[in-house]
Amino acid sequence: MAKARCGRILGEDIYINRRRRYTTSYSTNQLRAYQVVFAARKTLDQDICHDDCTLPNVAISVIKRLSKLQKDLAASSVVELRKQVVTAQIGDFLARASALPQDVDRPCQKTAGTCKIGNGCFASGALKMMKLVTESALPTQ
Amino acid sequence: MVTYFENQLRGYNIVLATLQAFSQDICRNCIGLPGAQTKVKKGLKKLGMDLEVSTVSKSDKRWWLAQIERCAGLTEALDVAEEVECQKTAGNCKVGSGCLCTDGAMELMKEITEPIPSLAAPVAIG
Repeated sequence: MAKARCGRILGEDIYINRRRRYTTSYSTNQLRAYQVVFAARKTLDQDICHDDCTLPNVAISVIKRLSKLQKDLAASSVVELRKQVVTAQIGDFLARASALPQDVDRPCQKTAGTCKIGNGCFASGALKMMKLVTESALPTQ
Repeated sequence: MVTYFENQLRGYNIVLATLQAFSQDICRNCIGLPGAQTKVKKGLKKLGMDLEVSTVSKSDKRWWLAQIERCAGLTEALDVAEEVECQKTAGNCKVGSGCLCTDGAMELMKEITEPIPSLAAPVAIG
């Protein structure tokens, strides 16, 4: 387990468990961004993206990432009470994501000639927001 | 011509949805939210001006203008705290160096890459 020195008391070095500190903060930040991805997805679903293959792909990607987040948290040494709270939050998000359509057997709306925004994609763009969460990532062991 | 307005409004619609979601979190008290709000307001104002000088038919123009005004209304209605400060400075936001409001939401507009010449001279398209 990664440990970080946080001070010295009576000549003795005091260490904190880095993973405990990092994991809850990381999960909270991730969920903060997922909340916005869900909002963007909902709006996209009311537009031409409704019949697009990217929205189901986004849902699948979110489910995979949330499942990983849940596993990482379960394997961490976060205080049990805090772990339960965050696990429940991740569970809520997972349930919401799982309820979304995951049928990728739909045409891309660019191919269908409906989407004319260029090379970009709003659905993928919404997921890119997750890349802004750069801190408190789980330290590799 | 119409594709330009269609794409831009499609983009602003999503940006507004994300900003609404941000306004329900710590970003409500953050300076990044009104910053993004101002950018959207300016963008919509420019879109309205582009529409005015465009060759779009009058009836279409009225319809697009109503859409722009609808988005402008949503932008105005965003729930932003009266006193705001960067939530990183306040110690509440720990996502990293990026800002979900300004870097995240506004970046969505950059997904629109076509039609290219419309921003400089919207009249020339169509």
